[in-house]
Parts: sequence; C-alpha cells; structure tokens
Amino acid sequence: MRYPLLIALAVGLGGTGAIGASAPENWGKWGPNDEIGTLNYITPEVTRHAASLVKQGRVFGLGLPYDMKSPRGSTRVIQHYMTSTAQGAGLKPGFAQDVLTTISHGTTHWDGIGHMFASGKLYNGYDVEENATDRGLLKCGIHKASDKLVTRGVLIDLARHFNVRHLPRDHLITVADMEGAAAKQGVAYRSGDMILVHTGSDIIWNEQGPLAYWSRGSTGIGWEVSQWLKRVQAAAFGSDSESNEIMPCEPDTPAKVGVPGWQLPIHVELNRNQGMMLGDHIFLTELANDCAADGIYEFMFVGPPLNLLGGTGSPINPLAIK
Amino acid sequence: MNTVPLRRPLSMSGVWLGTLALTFTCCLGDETNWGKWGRHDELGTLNYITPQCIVEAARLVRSGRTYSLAAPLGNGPLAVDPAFLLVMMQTGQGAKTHPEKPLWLMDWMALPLQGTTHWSGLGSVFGGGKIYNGYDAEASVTPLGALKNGIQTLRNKVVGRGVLLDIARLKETDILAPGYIITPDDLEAAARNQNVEIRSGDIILIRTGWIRTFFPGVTPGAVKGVAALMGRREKLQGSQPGIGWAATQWLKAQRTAAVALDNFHGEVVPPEAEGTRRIGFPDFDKPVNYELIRNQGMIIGKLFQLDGLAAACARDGVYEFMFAAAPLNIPFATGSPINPQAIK
Repeated sequence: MRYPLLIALAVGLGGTGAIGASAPENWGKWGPNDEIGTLNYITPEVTRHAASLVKQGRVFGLGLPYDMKSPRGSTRVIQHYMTSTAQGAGLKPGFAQDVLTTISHGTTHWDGIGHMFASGKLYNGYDVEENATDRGLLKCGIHKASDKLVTRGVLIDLARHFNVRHLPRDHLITVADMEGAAAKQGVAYRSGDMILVHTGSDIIWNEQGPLAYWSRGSTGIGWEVSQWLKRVQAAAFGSDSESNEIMPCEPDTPAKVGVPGWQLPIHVELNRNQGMMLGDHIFLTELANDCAADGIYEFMFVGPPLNLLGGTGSPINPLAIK
Repeated sequence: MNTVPLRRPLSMSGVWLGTLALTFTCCLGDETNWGKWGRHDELGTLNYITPQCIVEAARLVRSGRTYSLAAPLGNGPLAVDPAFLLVMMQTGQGAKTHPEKPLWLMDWMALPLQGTTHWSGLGSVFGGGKIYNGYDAEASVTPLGALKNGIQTLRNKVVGRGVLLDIARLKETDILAPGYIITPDDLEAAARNQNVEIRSGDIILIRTGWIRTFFPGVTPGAVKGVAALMGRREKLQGSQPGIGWAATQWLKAQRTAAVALDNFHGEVVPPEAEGTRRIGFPDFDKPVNYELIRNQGMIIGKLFQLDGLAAACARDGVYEFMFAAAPLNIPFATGSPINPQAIK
C-alpha cells in the first residue's frame, strides 16, 4: 500500500487535533462511550488472521528488564525488593516473595490512551478533571485494553533499511521511510496492525547502558507519520527508541495538535486525539535479526497490559510469535 | 515416593527439631524432575512445550475472540495483597484553571509479584536446602533475588495449548465447597464431559469458582458492594477448594507444562495429610506448591479469573485454545503478575 504524499499533505493541512471547535476525527467514531480507540480495529477476524501467521512455533519476548539497573532517567527509579528469602531457613521449607516498585511507564510499557490530555479533555471528549482522579482514570483506564491486544504485528526495520546500526538521534521518521522499508521487506500494512519500528536505538542501551539510552533526544515519528498511522488504521504503534516521537519535536507540531508549547505533541495526537496506545521501549534486536534471516516481518503479537484498574499505562513484556 | 531419611546436623539448632526426626524427599530421587532437562535447566516442565505445540495451539484459534484471565488489580478494598498501591502522580485536577500544567497523567505502583493473577516461579519454593533442579536454596534465593530459577528465564515462554477443566461445572455448582479436594478422577471426568483430550505440553487451567467470592462486580473508582469485599483477608487465607496430592501426580503423568487455578494458593486449603507426609514436612501447609514447583519444576498460576472463559467454553463446547501468559521481565524475581490471554 502506498499513500501519495499529497494525501498526507492534505490530511496535514486539514488538521485533526483540537484546532478550533472541531473535535478530533476519531472521537465518536466508535460511539460516545468508547474507551479503547484504535484497538477497535482489532476485530476477531484480525486476531484469527494473526494466529494464522504462527508457522514455526517460536516466541520472542520483547520486554526490557524491570529492575534497579534499568532506571528511566534520573527520576523514575525501579526497585525489586525481596520480602522473604531462603536465607537462614536451613532445611526448612518455605516461600520466597518479592515486590516491584515502578512508575507504570517504566522500561517497556504501554502509554494508555488516557496518558495524555489537552484542553481539559481526554480521548473521546471525557472531562479530565472528572475522570483523572486520585483513584486513577475513571475513563480510558488501561484495564479497558486487557483483552484487546492480540493482533498482527509488523516489524519495520529502519536500521536495516538505511544500512546503519542505529538511526541518528535527530532522524525524523517519514512516511517514505515507513512505506519504503515495508516495500523492501515485502510486507503490506493491514487494518488492526501493531506496527513496530526497529530504529536500532537498543544498541545504545546494550553497549552504553540505560542512562546513555535515556539521554536527551530521540529519533521518532512526527506529524506526518502520525496522520499516516490513521490512514493505515494501525491499532497501536511502538518502537525501541527513547520516545517514539522525535525529540525535540518539529517546531510547528504542537500548534497543529492544539497544544502550543507542549513538547510531546505526537503523544497527545496519538493517545488523546486518535485514541491510539503507544508501546514504549519495545526491544527488537533479536526479533529484527530473526526477521532479516527468514525474510518474514509479520507475526502474531500478544501484548496485553496488566489489568490495572484506572491505570494510565502498564509495564509489559509483549510477545512476537512466529 | 522414594524418601531418604536425613539426619539434621547436630551443629544446627532451631525451633523445628520436630522435623529432624522425619524424612523428606531426596533431592536426587526418581520422583523429582531434577536433572531431567540437564543440570543447568531453569525452565522445568515448560520444556514440554515444543515449537510444534505452539504451532498447533495457534491453529486452535477459530473465532478470534480473546479472553483476559487477569483479576482486576486495584487499590484499597480491591487489592488482593494490601501492599498493592497504585498512586496517581499527576491527576487532571486543576487542568482547566492551570493550562500550564503538564498534559500527561501518570501513576506509580508498588506491586507484590505474587499478589494478583500471577505465576509462582521456580525460585519461589524451597525446602531441604534446595530449590528446583537441586540448586542450593540459601545461595540462590537471596536478598538480591532468585539468582537461579528467576522469572526472567520465562520471558519468552508460557505460550501453548491451554485446556480448561471446569470442575465447578462438573459438580454442577457455582463454587466448589471450601476444602474440596480436586482429584484425578475429577480432572478426567471433566475432560471426558468436555470432550477434550489432555496432551503433553498443555497449560491446564482448573476452575473451582472460588474467585467469585473474592471479586464481586467491580469497576474502577466505584466499588460495588464494599461490604461484600470485607472479610477478604480471611477468605484469602481460609479454607478453599483446590487440587490435592493425587492431582500433582496426575499432572506429572500428563506431562503438563504449567497449571493454574482460580484460587489464591494454587492448591486445596487446608492441605491433605497425605501431601504433607509425602513431601516429608508435616507442618508445611502447602505440599502441592512444594511438589509441583520445587520437585517437578512446574510453575503454578494463581488467582486466574476463569469465569468469562468458562462461560464461553460452555457456550461453544470447545475447551481448548491458544494460551499466552509470559511473565514480566523482572530479573531474579520469584514470580510475576500476568495478564493471561486465552484465544479461541
């Protein structure tokens, strides 16, 4: 599938987002009470098709570790505490137990569609003051997605597409990148896809450590691809980059999205305006190598969040099954 | 079971001298699965799941409907484990009067790893100074975590054929009686009634109905019938239906890859005397956990919410499905909260 630049431009100029009085195009699309947005594209037929892609019976776990060695920057410490161990037990039987403390947006995680708001509204127009409370999200909580994330996954390997180990930090991922790499890989997009982009950024983590990975700046998508995701009816998007969206952002995007001054405009556009979840820090090296080896870039994707009532996101360990 | 009497070294002292006179399972006896998959194995019975099992499991997807088997994870009266805490770091309060507020909403959690729908991993049960596969317990299960048999070794596992054995339905009840011991006869009768075959590498889900007593209708922020949720600490620790000793041997004979129940302990409470005798620790009240996790190397799923899946299976008469429930990648954890997916 190829979308002429003109279409992308037209969509861009027409704008969606909270510009003026018009509500984003996806609001109301699945009814006034919808809380799952583009996950609605994952129909039973889509899930059935995804299962048909399992041919070799091999599973890839795409989740980064959750532990104190993997802090997300300086302020988001993750700790794993043992609360009982075998030490001192001698020959006695017993149980070992533990606790994890983390932000729900720790290492590999979903940004739920309730992660972002603007102009006092969450996705689908829900009032943010009424619904984003101390008790969690009363609308668009992550638990709404708990049985919705079994679908077809597509890996787009932009590092290989550009024949680099990893994309430069300032590389803005374009529609031409997404279409060009897909064409080269021989894979077509389908409605309901989980689109995974391998930028190679995980090399920074592997070679220089988490803190280098979390350093300022990120390759990622901008306004153009955010509108293209709507065109191809992606169910969700994720990558191995630091932010999924280009950081710093394109100068004119905050205004296009209706959030002047806000430096994560694509998060607002996707989470809040389109109702699309973002999978952050999904590590793809092993899967990308495997796809390059067998030439198969589509697979079954199983990536449910934890059933966190009212959560804004969730730690995950998504699976690709080939 | 082959048991070998061991004398506790005289130099050791403790409050459990009573145990001294008793026998316990020999770490190298034929009865355990230790060494079966090599001396470095940390996967246990998940080794039964071959690539072919996964391919066949995927072929079971017919309608494309997905069922989440995760119980709700919430604060306060909804929490299974009181240590669970979900704190909103940024709320929407003041969003309209303070447009300069950041536009994100985030939360933070303290998550007991075996306090909601979860796998109890192979590093979670010890005894006789050992954990599964004979690793030294004190050296392996430390304040730094389960350095052997940690849950991260399963991060790309636990995908395969799932089979639901609905024992509550078999017994024509919503919830089995507290203390009801599920036997191999029950499991086989359920399989026969449901017209489903048990195969090597299956993930077997056993429904007692118990979880219904624990989670009456709940919605976020609005707990229906808080009164109904009271006294749940007692329910958690109190008598509940589950599998007994004989079922552990049946699961072993079926070459089951993993087993999960919809109760809190993954076994019948109170325990059978037979079980505590067979493991050699009459005072240890979780003999099934000991036998399956430590001896056989089989992870146990607990607090699975099976009611929705059971209703769907009863409707279409199909009790086999694709199952996927990898743990989170938490290095050296003893277990992990999960959101198991049954795909029919």
